[in-house]
Amino acid sequence: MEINADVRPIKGKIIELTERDVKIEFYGRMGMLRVPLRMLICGKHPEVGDEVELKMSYVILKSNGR
Amino acid sequence: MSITPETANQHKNDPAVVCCLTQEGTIISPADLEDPAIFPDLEESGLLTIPENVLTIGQVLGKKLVKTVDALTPITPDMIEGGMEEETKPEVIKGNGVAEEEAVSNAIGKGNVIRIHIEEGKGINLEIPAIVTTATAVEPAARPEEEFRKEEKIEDRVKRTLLMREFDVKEVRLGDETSFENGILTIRKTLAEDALKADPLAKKMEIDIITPDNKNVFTNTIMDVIPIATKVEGAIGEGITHVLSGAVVILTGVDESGIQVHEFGSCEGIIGEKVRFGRPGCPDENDIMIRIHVTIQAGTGMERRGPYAAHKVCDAVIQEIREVLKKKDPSEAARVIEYKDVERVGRPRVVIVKEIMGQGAMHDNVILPKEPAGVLGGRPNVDLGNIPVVLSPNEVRDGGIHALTCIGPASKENTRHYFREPLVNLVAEDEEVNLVGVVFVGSPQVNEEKFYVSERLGALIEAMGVDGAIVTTEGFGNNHIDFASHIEQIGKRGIPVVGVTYAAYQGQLIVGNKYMDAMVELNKDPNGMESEILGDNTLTREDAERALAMLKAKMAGVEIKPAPKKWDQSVIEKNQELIRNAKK
Repeated sequence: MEINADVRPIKGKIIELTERDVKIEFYGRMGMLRVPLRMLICGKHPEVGDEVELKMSYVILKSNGR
Repeated sequence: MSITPETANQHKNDPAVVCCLTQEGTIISPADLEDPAIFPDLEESGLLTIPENVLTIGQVLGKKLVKTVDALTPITPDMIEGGMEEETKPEVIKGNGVAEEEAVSNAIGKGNVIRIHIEEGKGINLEIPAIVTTATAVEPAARPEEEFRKEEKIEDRVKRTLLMREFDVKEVRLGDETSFENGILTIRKTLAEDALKADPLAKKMEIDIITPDNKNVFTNTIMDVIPIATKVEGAIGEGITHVLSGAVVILTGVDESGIQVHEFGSCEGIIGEKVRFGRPGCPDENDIMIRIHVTIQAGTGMERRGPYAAHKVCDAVIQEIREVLKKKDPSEAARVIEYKDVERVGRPRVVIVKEIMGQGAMHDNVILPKEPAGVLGGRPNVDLGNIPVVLSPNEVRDGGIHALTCIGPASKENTRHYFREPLVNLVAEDEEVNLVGVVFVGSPQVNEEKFYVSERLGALIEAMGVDGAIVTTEGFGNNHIDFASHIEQIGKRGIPVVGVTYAAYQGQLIVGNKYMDAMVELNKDPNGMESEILGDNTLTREDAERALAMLKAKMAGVEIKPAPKKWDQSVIEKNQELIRNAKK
């Protein structure tokens, strides 16, 4: 079966912020993502509650673990 | 999209393709042609197929079109009035296959031209020695002038000298007292407790020894690799330094809840598999590793003070070893290395810019500590507002940077990396250029701050009056925004500039500008990924050689071939091959 898992913009907001990383919750309570600050591009200092956007697809299981 | 006369000139040897429906009788101008930069995309999507007999932009400009052609049609001789005369038919010249990411092409410096004129012929293969195309491109132009002024030759000026005495370590033990006798380093066991006094956030320390024949041990994330060195005379960068060879400190850390201090890009695992031994920032294959494992207060791993505490207490252990090392008799040194900061009079002035992390927490570096590769007495670049700070090459090689280093393991530059920085060493040793200094500039979090420091960097480089610059950065992420901006700031001042970074697949550049036409890729992973192996994708001697050769070529006015659209490791290998051939 061919899955058309296109990359599309997803929005969410910052729910946690440290000197190392930010935690993002996607709108619709569709999960969370934690990334180091270096992976966040921002025009101002980030704050809890700020809206963010990224592009992602559904997650596809590729293979068994090790 | 049509192109400008400037773009047409840049791409005069690229295929000519009309951008729009073009009527019979049109005299072809740049406005009628498509930008060759987008050909790879067009070819990929099937919109464009370039035939073998396509003419180049240089060949078609000013010629009259004899038939009406559709948009995106490559121009072939039959479409041009009078066709193309025999001698101007494009010849395939096979040089060294210099299709480069970052390449050096087969032209050479100003006033130093190889002209190849082929009146008629088929199947011609021209092989031009790589030596002409790379590092020495500057040399031939300079020679006649040198000979002319032989009698008034100006001597190089040695600005300062650093003497580094290396003491070999054969064995490391834990014992009652710290000592270093007959190649046996003993570290006081109780030091693990005493060193904690250096910072109350550090709760526990364990010291153990990993010998080179026993790499099958588990390690927590390696926060840093630190050489053991101490000042015996003078300040950092001059005087005398004693350094241990054959043994190196590795700092690892978790917090009280068991979370790795470098949770992102952690390289915990079996040490033999998680370290690329032999990289400048890593232990060497036969090094004894003194592992200092620090547990910090729960939750502080995500704050600046947590990782900093781990580095401070680790430094307290090293300091006790330093005190012993200071007193060693010079006659016991296995090797003495002399490093000189030299002003090479009359040679092109070159600066190295090293963009270091400054986003906070462990994205920080301590600049110019009191002891080589130490912590105390230094200033973190985050506290300095990430503003550019100039160090002499000797200050860098004498441990002027202590890295707090975070993500990712494969691309981070550890403290030992700066101690053995291959680019600084190479450029400092090269007699064809005059390395005037090494600028460290931090990478802040917010774009506005990034551009603030980048503009200051541009002003600094302008004031330094250099003829060329190499900009490097460690790892990937938002630091590529200021990396690109640094190159622009330097490039727009008319200074030839080369960029050096890991990008490959995972760290693809997210911004670019027209000055980023000479780029060196640091990737060594077959898939172009952050491999989670410490030091894997960091700058090595070979990378440094490519960067310097490229800068010399650019300073000499050599055209640099554009990089392919996507990362291609074979380009890097070809460039490396060119350098190897040039050295033969």
